[in-house]
Amino acid sequence: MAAEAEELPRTIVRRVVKDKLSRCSEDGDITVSKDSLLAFSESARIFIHYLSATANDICKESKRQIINAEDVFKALEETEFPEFIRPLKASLEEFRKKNAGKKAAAVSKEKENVAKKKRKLEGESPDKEEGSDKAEGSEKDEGSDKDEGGDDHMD
Amino acid sequence: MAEEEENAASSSSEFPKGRVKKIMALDKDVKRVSSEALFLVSRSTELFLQFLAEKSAQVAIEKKRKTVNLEHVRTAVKRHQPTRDFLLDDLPPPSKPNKPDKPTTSAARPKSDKPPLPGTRRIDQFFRKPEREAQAQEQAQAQTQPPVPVDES
Repeated sequence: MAAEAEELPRTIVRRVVKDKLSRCSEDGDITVSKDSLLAFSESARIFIHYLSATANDICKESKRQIINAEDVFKALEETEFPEFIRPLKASLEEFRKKNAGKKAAAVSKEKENVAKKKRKLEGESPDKEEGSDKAEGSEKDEGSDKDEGGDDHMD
Repeated sequence: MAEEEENAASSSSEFPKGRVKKIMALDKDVKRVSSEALFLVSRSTELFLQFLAEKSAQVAIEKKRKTVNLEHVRTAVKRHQPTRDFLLDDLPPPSKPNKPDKPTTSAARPKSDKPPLPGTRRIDQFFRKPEREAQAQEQAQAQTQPPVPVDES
């Protein structure tokens, strides 16, 4: 299986684990061996597979093409990790707020950029167009932020 | 303020989105994922990792060790039914050559909080280092008996 090729960054796995461990032990002096770090890393990777596969099944059952947040929540129930659901819902709210803010900012920024460029072009000679026309054309797309509809695809 | 702390912990997603997405995409069945779902999978994995770390640390502390090792992780996995279901077989094998046989009670296990059937535990420990020789002796006796769970109380 080519699965081995993709791993989570070990430094991050290490950080997450060590942060948690330092909160676990009273003295804060509990450490983690190399082979167990590998096990943690592998476990996380396998968890991703397991959770996504479950969410994917749920998504398909609803005859949809794109795995959404609800699918993941249901998958967490199905895989018997319901204790994660509440903190995750809180995280999701944050995520949505952040994105909403980003989108609004991106849209207004885009408008500003367009206005600036127009002014520039009017003021300067046409020789200086370079690639700026292309950039202007992109304003037609709804925001340069790919995450806009909440859709991402793997294709 | 506690609320701020919680927010900081809850919204931060440590894992790089691209990497998580790649791992998910290795499953050919998984094709399209919303950015929200990707975020949630990433955060769930973080929570899972923390959960596993905590459980493993508990095992290490029980055994009066200051370093969490692979066997502690394995024990932690075994103790938590939902995790055991998908993870136990995939953990790196122990450094010792004798790998314990998979107990037959994997898929059909009833979802209860009972500890492993006495039969499975004994077989499991049979392949481990005989830390407690008394138990090893018990096993030798139990082997001759029919495979019916005996009430050890």
